[in-house]
Order: sequence, then structure tokens, then C-alpha cells
Amino acid sequence: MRKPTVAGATLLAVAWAVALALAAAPEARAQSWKDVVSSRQVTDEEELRVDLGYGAGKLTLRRGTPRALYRAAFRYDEETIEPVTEYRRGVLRVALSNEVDGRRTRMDFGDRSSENSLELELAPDLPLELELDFGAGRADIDLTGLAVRTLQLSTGAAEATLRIDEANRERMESASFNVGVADFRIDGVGNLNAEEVVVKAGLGSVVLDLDGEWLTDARLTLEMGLGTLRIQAPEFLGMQLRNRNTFLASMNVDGLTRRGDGWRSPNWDSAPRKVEIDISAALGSIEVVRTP
Amino acid sequence: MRLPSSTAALASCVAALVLAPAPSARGQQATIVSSQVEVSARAASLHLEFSSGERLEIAFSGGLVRANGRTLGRYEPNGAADQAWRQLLSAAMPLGAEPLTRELDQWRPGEGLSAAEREVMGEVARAVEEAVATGAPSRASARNQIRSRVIEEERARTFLRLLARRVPELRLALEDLDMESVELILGEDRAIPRDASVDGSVLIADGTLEVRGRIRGHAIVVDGTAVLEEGGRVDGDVRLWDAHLERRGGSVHGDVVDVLRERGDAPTAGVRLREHIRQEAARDRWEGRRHSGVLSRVGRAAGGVLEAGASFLVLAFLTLLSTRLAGDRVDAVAQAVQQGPARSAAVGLATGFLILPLYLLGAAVLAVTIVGIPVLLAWIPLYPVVVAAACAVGYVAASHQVGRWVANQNISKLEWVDRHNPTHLKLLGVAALTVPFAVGAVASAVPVVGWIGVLVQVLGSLACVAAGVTGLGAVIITRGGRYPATDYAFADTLDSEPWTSAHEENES
Repeated sequence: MRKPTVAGATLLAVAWAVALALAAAPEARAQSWKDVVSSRQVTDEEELRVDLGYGAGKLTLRRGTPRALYRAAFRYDEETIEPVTEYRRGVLRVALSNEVDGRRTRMDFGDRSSENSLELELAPDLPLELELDFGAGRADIDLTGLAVRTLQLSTGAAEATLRIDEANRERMESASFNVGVADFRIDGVGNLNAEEVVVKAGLGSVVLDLDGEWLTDARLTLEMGLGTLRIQAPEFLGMQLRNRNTFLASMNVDGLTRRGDGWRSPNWDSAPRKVEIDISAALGSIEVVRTP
Repeated sequence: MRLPSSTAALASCVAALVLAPAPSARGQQATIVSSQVEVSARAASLHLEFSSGERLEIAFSGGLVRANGRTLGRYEPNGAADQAWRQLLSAAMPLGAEPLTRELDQWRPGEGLSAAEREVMGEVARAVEEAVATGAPSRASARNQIRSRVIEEERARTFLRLLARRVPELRLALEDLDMESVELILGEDRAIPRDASVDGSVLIADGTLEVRGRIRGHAIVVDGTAVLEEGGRVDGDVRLWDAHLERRGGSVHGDVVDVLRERGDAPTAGVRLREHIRQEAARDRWEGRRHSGVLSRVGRAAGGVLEAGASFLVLAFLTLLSTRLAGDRVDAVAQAVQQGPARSAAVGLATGFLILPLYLLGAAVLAVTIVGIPVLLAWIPLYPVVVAAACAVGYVAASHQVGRWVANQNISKLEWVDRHNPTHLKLLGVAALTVPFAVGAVASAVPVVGWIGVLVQVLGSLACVAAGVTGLGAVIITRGGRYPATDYAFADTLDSEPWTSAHEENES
């Protein structure tokens, strides 16, 4: 049997490395950016359900013009991604597909993927059911002026902000937020007009600004894995905070008084609107701040 | 020069259509229900859907201008026509339906166009204008309407205009044709039942016209057949343009005219028109196939099989290379995989987690020492190479075991495999690990059960990863094949010789 030599082993290693590098290395190619704008007018729709799946990049969602059902403006690398905008019978599906011209491509989640963008504008006058699934990147969601009936937002590794500056005209049946590894902020929770809001966060920081008109009393369920949670609540709002299960999380509660296993605001009995907050957290810090 | 009367009539009709759209059409502007604008470096297109259900798609791509798939002409990428079109699309992007309608209605191609570009852009402008004006894109949507085969009058006129422009000799066949009441059938047969009648004329191209009822105008057949059945009647002429007539008892009250013979034209005109129509029909058939996705699926399946085949060839080459250069070490690693697959997998998994931290830690340690800095220069490129080589050798060794298992299944088609030959076993293992990808690619192309193909490919991927991890662990355990695993109780006699020699080498 031939004895292996250093030269032979080196040659073998180099051959394998070259083969693996060729197999694993991303294709050396220039990105080819494409802009696609799709829009549709309102015809006889009575409501609109939106299923959004956006992998990576920058997502902006906001109110559109009155007679436009939706307007989706994509900017993406046409070599690797194909946008999908499908509308049928009151259901709008917006997504990114990695099947381009019938062939599967490798989606680019690298640095350049942050240059992908989607601006989605939705009809202000129709009740909306929103199911938004956002992967990585940055999401700016402005629900001001929209009539949202249900809202589900899931994010992966993202920096996401959601704001609503006016009270939602539709009574929201539920609002749930599933946040992966992310910085997540909601401004105007009181304007969601939701009786139940659920926020589940894995890792990162979550800021909830409870400002808003508060057309109804509400219950907030907050589940944190690892990270920081900051709740900013206006002073007029009656608050009751229950510490359901905090493992190694510090609580810093400002302006609330201890009551049993939780805290309550001094104006709880007299407040025009009340919000009950249940908190579970594994590791991190929870801070509650009252704002004028 | 005086134009023949038919030409003059056609020209006036064309001029009327082009220059002065009918007031009624202007009055009922179509509603755009949805729009899509696509702009990239290589293409720019506009898709419109109207409340009438009509669609218009105009695309500038690869030097060709197409309207609903039909080629209108050529353009120079980044030329004046391209820029004018892109300018329109840029303006259209932010617009809602109403302002978009106004923008399209008012759009005129810019200055600085060559004569050819001016002609193409004129076609584009007319297609847009007519679509916006009536919601019924004229020639632009003609091909889309081929499936319904009977093209509406408005589009029939414009389609005839296009044919006449491309093949001027056709104008004789269109003489005295009432453009307002013509039924155009393209690439399909048309039968007029016994008690039915057509008020205007019928023009059929690339198809058979079977008349059992009555045609009150002319019957014009281009590159096809007219069959006049018993009781069938044509009030006007039967005009044959590279076509023939079968009389089976029907009557023609006008003349039967063989247009090409009348004009004494060379057959090239017929060839040209036939070619043109066949291109349309072929494009239509291609569209149909593409729409059904069958070809696409078959293509994907073939691509997947080829990809798997190419992967096998590369891996087979590297397997042979590694066997040639360090066969006994690879066999020692394979022996370790066989003796303790679970242990190898565990070690491989643990190693996998440690590879990157070790790399970084090593680099950090070397970087903070003066002696280490020169070593660092080698460490940074060589470490990944060594790791890759270890993974690869491990994969081949694991393939050896997979090959042995496959060979022991006594599969009749694999009788030619020499079970005493380690190289055969390795290649068989590599093939076995590649097969799921080919099978999966084929299965995923089958409608309904395509998910099974995807599942097979996922399982194949898991098997490859498991083989790689287990092999890597065995490489670690045997220190790169230099120190074979210690438990020989289950050593396979088939491979004992290469292992033994490695063992003996080690002991000596």
C-alpha cells in the first residue's frame, strides 16, 4: 500500500477545498435591481385580508389613497427574488419568492438584502385583516388611518416599529405580535382599539407606548424571553400589572403601588379606561414609566 | 401615383383609426382596475387590467417591443425609444388609476426617435391609447384572444391593418371588405351551423371554414380551407389567399377569387404570410404549454437530474483522487465509521460546534504574540482548508459504509459492483447519497405528489449532512486516519487489508 505523503495530502486538501469553495461560494455576479409597482382599485370589496410574507429588507406599510385597494412597490434583486402580488376575492397575498423564471435561486440575506424594499399601501376605508410575517431587516408599519379588524405581526431578526396616531375605526378583535430576535416598538397602543393585545418576544428589546384614545378597556399579555421591556403609560390610564412568571427578570415600576402579586395605579378605581397587563419574563428587565 | 381602390380604402381606414379615434370610443374611457409597472436595467413593462376584463401588457425587453406577447418591433436599449418608454413608466409608478389613465391617454413618444423607432413607438402609443379609450386593447391583445379565436370587430380591424402592412399583397383580398363587420378567426377552425348566419364577412387564417349556414358578406380564407357544405351559402365572394375551396353542394353568389393567381404574385408573398401566421400560432401553442407549466416542470426535473449527475461526477472524481493519494487513511476513517457510527456522529457534531470558536480563538492567540503573527498568516487560510479536507474525507469514508450497506442489499442491478473493492463501495455510496436528489427532482415535477419529491430531497440532504458529520467525527477519532479506531471486533473482513496495513504502519 502506498504510504501517504505530505505533498499528496496537501494536494488532496487543496482539491477538496477548491471543490467545496466552488460549491459553497455564492455566485460572483452583479446584482440587478428591479422596481415593480402593483396597484389595484377598490371595486366591490367589503373587506380586505392581507397575507404578507417578506423575508429580508425594508418594509413600509401605511395608508393609501381612498380608491386604491392596495399599492405594492417592490425594489429587489431580480436575479434572486421574484415578488408575488396576488389578489383574489378580497385576499391579497404579498410575498417574495426565490423561484425566478422557473428556477430556484439562493435568497440573499447578506448585507445587500437590506437594500430590498417593499412599500405597501392599503385602502383606508375597508376593514382589514392583517397577517404580516416579516423576516429580517427593518419594518415601519403605520396603521394610522386604516381600519384594522385583526392584526398578527411576526418578525424574525428585525428592527420593527408600529405606530398608530389615530384611533382605529374598527374594533379590533385581536392584536398579536410575535417578535423573534428584534427591537420592537409600538407607539399608540391605545389607538389600536383592541380588547386584547398579546406580545411575545424572544430576544431583544420591546417598547410599548400605551398612549392613545383608549376607546375600550383592554388586556395586555406580554411574554418576554430574554431582553428588556419598557412600558410607557399615560397617567390618565388605570393600570394593573400582574407578574405572572418572571424567572430572572428585574422589575422597575414607576408610579404604581404594590398590590398582591402585582401593581396597580393610584387612579385605578376612577380611571375612565383601564388596562390589565400580565407579564411573563425569563431573563432581563421590565420597566414601567408613567408619562404625563 | 394612384393607389388601387382597395389600398386607398384600407389606407383611409387605417388613417381614420390611427389619427382620429372614434368619438364614441373617446367618450367611454376604460377603467383601469389594476396596473403593474416593472422597471429593471434589462426590461421595462406595463401591465394593465381593465374593468372589462381585458388586459394589456407592453414590454420593452431584449431589444424587442411586445404587446401582449406579440412583437411590435425593435428598440435600442438605452436609446431614445427606450428612454421615452421608461420616462412614461417612471411617471406612472406613483399614480393611482385615474391619474394613470390621464397620463397614458396624454402620452406621446418623445423627440429624437429614428424612423423605425417612431413607427414602433407609434404602435405602442396607439395600443395604449386604444386600450385606455375603450378598455379593449386592439392588436396588442389580439394574440391573447386567439384562444377564443373570434376576435372582436375593433381588434379585427387593427389586426387586418397589421397584416396588410406586413404583407401589402393581402390588400387585394380585403377589397370592399366592410371593416365594421368582419369576424376574424386566427389559427382555428370555424363552423357556421345550418340555421345560423353571419351578418358581415368572415376572414379565417390558418384554419378551415366550414359553411353549412349563411355568410352575408365575403368569406376570405388565408392559408386554409373553405368547405361549402350542402345548403351552405356565401352572399359575397370567396377569396382564397394561398388557400383552397371544397364545394360540397354549397353556393357562392359572388365570385370565387384566388387572389395570388389573380395578382400573379410570386409565392413568396404567401410564404411570408404563412410564416407570419405560423409564428403566431406557434407562439400561442408555446404560451399554452408554458401556461400549463408542463414544460417548465419537465425542465426543472431534467435540470435537477443533471445537477445531481454533475454533483456525482465531481464527488466521484474527488473520491478517486482521495483514494489514490491517501487510500489507507480514508479506509481507516471508514473503519471507524463502521465500528462506531454513533460515537463518530457525536464527535462530529461536537467538532462542528467547535470549528468556528477554535478558529477565532487560535487567530486571537496567535495575533497577540510576536512569534504567532507569522503563523497567523498561515493559520487564517490553512485552517479552513484543513477543515474542508477533513469534512470531505469524512464524507467519502461515510459513503464507503453507505456503499457497503447498499451492496449488501443484493440488489439485482448492482451485481456488477465488486463488494471486495473499497473504491467500488465508495462510489456506490456517493451515488446512493446523490440518488435522492435526482429522484426528488423528478418526483417534484409530478403534479399533486410533488411534495413527495421535496420530502425525498430533504431526506437526502439530511442523509448527506449525517454522512458528513459522522465522517468528520471519524476523521477526528482516527486523527485523520493515522490512528485507526481501537475496537476491531466488528471489523469488516472486506476492508480489513487496507485498515490492517494502516494499523500495522501505526504500530511500527
